[in-house]
Amino acid sequence: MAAEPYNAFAIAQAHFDRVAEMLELDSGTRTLLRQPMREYAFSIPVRMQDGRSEVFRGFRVQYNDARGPAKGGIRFHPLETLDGIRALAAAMAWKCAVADIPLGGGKGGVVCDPHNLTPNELEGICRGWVRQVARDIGPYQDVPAPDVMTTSQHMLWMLDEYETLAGGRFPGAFTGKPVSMGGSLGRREATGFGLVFALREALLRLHVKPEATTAAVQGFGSVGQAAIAMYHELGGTVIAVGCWNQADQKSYTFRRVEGIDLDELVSMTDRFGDISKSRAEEAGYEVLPGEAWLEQDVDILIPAALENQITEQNVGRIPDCVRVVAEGANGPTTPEADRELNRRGVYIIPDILGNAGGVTCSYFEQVQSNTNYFWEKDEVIGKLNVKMTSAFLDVAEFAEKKKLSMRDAAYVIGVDRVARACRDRGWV
Amino acid sequence: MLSALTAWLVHAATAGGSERYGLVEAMGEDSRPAVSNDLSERAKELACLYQIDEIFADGSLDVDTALQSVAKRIPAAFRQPDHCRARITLFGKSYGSEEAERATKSISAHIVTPEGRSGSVEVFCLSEPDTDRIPFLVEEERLVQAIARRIADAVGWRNIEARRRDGEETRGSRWRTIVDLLLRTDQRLYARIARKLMYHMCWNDVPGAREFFSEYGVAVRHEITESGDNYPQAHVTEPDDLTLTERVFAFAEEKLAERTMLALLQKWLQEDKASFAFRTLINLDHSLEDVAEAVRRFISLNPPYGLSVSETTDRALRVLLTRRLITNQLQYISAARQHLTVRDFYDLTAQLIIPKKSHGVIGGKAAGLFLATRILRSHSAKRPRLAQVAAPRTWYLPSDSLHYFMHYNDMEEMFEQKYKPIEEVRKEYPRVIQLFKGARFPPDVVQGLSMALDNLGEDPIIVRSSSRLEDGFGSAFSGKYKSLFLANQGTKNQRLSALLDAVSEVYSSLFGPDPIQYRAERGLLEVREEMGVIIQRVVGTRVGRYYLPACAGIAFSNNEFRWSPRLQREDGLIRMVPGLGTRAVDRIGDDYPVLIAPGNPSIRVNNDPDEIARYSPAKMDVIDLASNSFVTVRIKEFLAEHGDSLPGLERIVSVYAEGRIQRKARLTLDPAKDNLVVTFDGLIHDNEFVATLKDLLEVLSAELSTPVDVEFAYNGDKLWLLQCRPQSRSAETAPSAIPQNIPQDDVIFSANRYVSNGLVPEITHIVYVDANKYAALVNSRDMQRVSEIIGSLNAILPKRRFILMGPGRWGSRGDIRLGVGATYADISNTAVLIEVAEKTGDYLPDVSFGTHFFQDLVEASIRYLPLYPGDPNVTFNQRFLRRADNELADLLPEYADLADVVRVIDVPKSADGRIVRVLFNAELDQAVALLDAPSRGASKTSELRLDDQHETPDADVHWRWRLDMANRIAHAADPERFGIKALYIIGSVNNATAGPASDIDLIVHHTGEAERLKDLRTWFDAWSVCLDEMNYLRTGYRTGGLLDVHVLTDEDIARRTSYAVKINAVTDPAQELSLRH
Repeated sequence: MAAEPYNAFAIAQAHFDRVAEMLELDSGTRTLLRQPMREYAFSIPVRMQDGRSEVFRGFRVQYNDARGPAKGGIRFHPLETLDGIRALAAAMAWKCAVADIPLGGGKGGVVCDPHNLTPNELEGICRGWVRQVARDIGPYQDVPAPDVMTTSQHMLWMLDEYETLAGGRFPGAFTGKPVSMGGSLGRREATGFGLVFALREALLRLHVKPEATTAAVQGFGSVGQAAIAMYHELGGTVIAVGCWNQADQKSYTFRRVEGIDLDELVSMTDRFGDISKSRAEEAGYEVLPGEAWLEQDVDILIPAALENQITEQNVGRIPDCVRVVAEGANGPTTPEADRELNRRGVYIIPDILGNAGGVTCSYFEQVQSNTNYFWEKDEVIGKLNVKMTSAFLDVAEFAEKKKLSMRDAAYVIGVDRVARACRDRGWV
Repeated sequence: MLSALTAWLVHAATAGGSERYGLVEAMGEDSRPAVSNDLSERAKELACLYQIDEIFADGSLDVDTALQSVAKRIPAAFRQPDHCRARITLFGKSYGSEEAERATKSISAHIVTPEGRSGSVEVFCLSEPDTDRIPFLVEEERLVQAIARRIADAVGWRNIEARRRDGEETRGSRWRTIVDLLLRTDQRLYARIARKLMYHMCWNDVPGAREFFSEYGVAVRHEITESGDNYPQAHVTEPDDLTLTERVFAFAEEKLAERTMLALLQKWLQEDKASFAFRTLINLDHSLEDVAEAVRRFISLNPPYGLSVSETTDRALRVLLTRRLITNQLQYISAARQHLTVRDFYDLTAQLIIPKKSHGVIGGKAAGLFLATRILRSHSAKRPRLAQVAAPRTWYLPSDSLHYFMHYNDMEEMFEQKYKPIEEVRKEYPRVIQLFKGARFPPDVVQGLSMALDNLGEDPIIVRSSSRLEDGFGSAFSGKYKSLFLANQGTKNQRLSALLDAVSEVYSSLFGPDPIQYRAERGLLEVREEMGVIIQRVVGTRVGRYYLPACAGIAFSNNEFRWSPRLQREDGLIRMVPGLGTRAVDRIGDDYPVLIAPGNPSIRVNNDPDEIARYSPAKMDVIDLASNSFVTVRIKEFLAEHGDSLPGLERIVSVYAEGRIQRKARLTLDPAKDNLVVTFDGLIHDNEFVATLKDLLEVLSAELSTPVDVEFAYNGDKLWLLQCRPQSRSAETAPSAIPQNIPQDDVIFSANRYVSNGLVPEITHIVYVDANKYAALVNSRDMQRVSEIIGSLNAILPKRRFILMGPGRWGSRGDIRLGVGATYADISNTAVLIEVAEKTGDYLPDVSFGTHFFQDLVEASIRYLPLYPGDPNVTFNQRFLRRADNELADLLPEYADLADVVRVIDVPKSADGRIVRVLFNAELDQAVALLDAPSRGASKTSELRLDDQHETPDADVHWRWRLDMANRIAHAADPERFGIKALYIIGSVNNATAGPASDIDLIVHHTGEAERLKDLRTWFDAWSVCLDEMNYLRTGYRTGGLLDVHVLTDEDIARRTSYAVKINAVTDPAQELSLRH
């Protein structure tokens, strides 16, 4: 066992180095892209409920903005570290480039535990954070969004502070806002729809008619439900849904071989996402163990729940008939399982591409906010379709041409686009 | 004026003057100014005395005006007239300044009139005028005394004058008429009053009184003779003849004013009238009816508060009434006598249904609420919020009404029930209930209940037990007897018969197996238990076909489940749900009440909107008026249909939309469309609800000198108090005694921060995740595997017999480095979750307080403890944790490579058969886990409890019986027919820790033939159901099937999958049962 402890940024750098090697980047570009362009680390003093002051540590990392304003979330976490934020900021830079939207990568955070803070104190942190970086963020510099333990409410507090300091209304300075306050329609569906737009193109390349396919989905949250809806729209049949059950503290797979009915299942779901087992059984669904979703004889697996779901242990249980794995969740497949799936020739739509619908919609929110003109939902979804399709095609064609895995191809394209923008600007 | 001054100076000089004046002379020339200063002071004093004389001489002034003028005049005679004020008090009235409270210094003198000490003259200084000076001079004190004498003379003379005039007009005073009447009608009272009058005059220094009465041989001042403690005191006889009595009145006539005498007589006669109440209460032979009648008379003689009696009599009456109507408990009485008035008892008896010859009390539950409402009333002046707290209208049946009922129905043999074996009690209980329901009520009780019903109206009511043992100080006898909700709908006859039925069912619960078992365990079987009943209107509103309060719950003064280091134990805890409070009082398991710390309501358990929604109540209890029943409904469906008519809806729910949970105004709220989440945000932030509960908890726990818990309901406008009792301390929340002087090696860890109360008696396994090794893991996949290990161990290790210890924040979503990334399902069987803030490298991991599944932990009673090994005052026995044998590789061979990160310690194996006991004491803020000898039974905890000296029953019976049954099964099974190769027992029966609800875990090594397996399963199912029924009769626990059978084939055993690891396992191995051959 190595003595060096786990460091997310070191791992991200190692990953980058491998891609840089493939792209044969020159040393200047390599050095530039191996670390963030700019980092802000600052103190946020907050007057607490009991009158004393507490000082919180805040960060913002603008990893690279050669392609456009930096984009990325703000996390509130008690053990947040600059290295952790650097790694996530880098991932955002590559992801925006893969989706081919004109944005760079960024990430920020505050070391705090929201569980121990009152709403007023949280508001104080949000406003304090903005006061420290107001000059260096904004609709044309860096656009933050909600992330771990931050919500649309935090964004509105931050936006308000920003606009107060900037002396105007700049709704494009933050995304993830509620629709009534400059948010975009279609945000809830964007990730799931985007995933299926990519899936549709993948099937086309595999010369498989969507209406002849079946799928099993893991996760019945907003991503899972939107993906099922759009996939049904294409004519496909979802026969199994795996999801967590809060009441029983375990997950189940709900299967109906002739196909599930999305609306019916949604009507059996309480607001906590639990599908009622008894009602499902009445409606003809079999209630199977949690991992059964990946053992089904289907063409497509859509993991849209948590990370590390397809592992070395269970990858062997995936039947041979599965041809596509479309990753809606972040990191649902462990590297060992990924190798095995590649070996079996399963077509993988990697998370960096598959769930890029989310960040694309954030981009749309920013565009709408900047022009102060807001689109109807159809328009949002239509534009998402175009973006996801072309992003997919770029990755797929490159992968085929260069005999790379889809995952490697996506990373290479992402890094390459950022590197080229730096070169075009004459930075390196 | 000038001549008087000269005369005074001459007097001073000839008498030698005071020392001060002597000193002045000695100082000679230089002191002239001081002398002239003194002279002018004295002139002021004399001028004052003259003016007072003039005021009294003026016959046109009445006494009041005269005294008022005198009081005004006095300050001018003092050195600092601007800072001085004077007050005269005479015959209970006061004249002059009312600024006495502001005084820094004062002097005073008594006014002694012919009637004794009648008042005083006070002069006080409002501020310290000059710190160098003495505030008042000796001369000034003398002046005050002189003024007092002048007033006494003047008033005394005026009184004599007045009396003379009275005498002329009425020929004998009015009080004389009363006394004469007494002499003719009640000589004993006449004598008593005379004696009181005599002592009054002597003790109040009426001039000449002592001398006068001494002549008649009355020892007016009894003194303790110095005969020593061991000799009897001398007896002094008091003459009791009519002649003396006559003389007393004659003497008084001469000395006391008419109005004084009348006031005294009135007071003594009222006291004498009150003595009937005293006599009734003291005599225990008098029934409750007599007591109630006495109270009624006492009040009706002088409504609304009753006869005015001396403070001592009043206190004695209140204490006696508390004893007769409520309880004998000293702690209760001492709190009660501060707050209860006789009028309160009058109000109580007005709602008391009194059977003939009853001698009962209202019982514990009723007593707690009755006193609590009165305590709140006495504090409502200082804390106005408390004036808004209401209590529902309540009727009481006294505690012995049960005996009366049983006697009336010849059911006395039922009292032997408690001595029968518990199986028999349980078996007979359904019949007992029916027997009670079939019995008739005595007509006086029926009449009383009918009256109560008319008074309570047609809203739903609750019939609750209120036994003597319930809710008392020190005994946690809660929830053992029944409380029944009645919809109370239909005709009067239907409602009355439903009420009678409910009362008889509540009565019958005294003979239920659970309370009898509980009493047996506590040594309370021989206590004469009586059962009172209270009938209360249910707080609520009709909403559609349902009836419910907007919300209800339970609040505790001590918070035993703090979710943030920013919370103190004293911040308290509120558990609240919409609808009836039943779901907040009990732990439901599949649902969550909203938790609030009233001392710090902004620190919430859940902050993330998703978490808030997930951990909000999903169901609620309501009364269905249409079906006359108590039902549970889904909140979402209920609100969609009836939300618009629920009072206070906007304070109960928030709307979850677009990642935010927000309150909405009532007008814009659309219960059918909006995604509603029960948060009570409106109640918490908008009005005084939480502040009121906080005040209420503070006041009640301070007055009762114990932490309390209260049940409450809120109906959209005000807060209702439904129950109040000392905070219950079940075994799991009682503080454990922390033993001292334990050998260091026997302590696994100790803690001194954020400790709650309780005890985890018998830990057989410790799962320890080594912080340094965990931090050193290089890839996230290995960290993920650590979570998987925890999940697998959770399924294998004996439930609630192991503890999990590991670094940092367990269950953190996002970054897994911060702590083991377990979900609640991965830790659901642990007894304690311990987050270790152990410094690794350069950072100290934070602890989460279990926030990610805090409410799951609370509802499952899993204890949480943060450990700070860096603290110099705590022990953290890494030697033991790191050196003890690690069983991980044997239990989960596939994770053997992580054996240095996760250590599984079989405690008895590593510590010579001992187990770990974790003791928590929140009062001391200390917890300790120590190695101790096992108590060979489920939960023998008595020796570790502070407040419980009783023996627990033999806990061994549960596992012994189960092992016996398992052996019988093994013997009865036909191995050929069923394809059994071997049969093993594992789990709690095998390790002798089975409790009354434990199942019997069997492993069957099977041939794998499907047909035989099917037969075997059917055969086991039959056993399972039978054993469950037997276990139910023995313990009252029903699980639906007592056998938990795991079937393994040769292949499983070869691959050591799932339960196969238990066979020949290193730790807690399966035990083979011998089969029939």
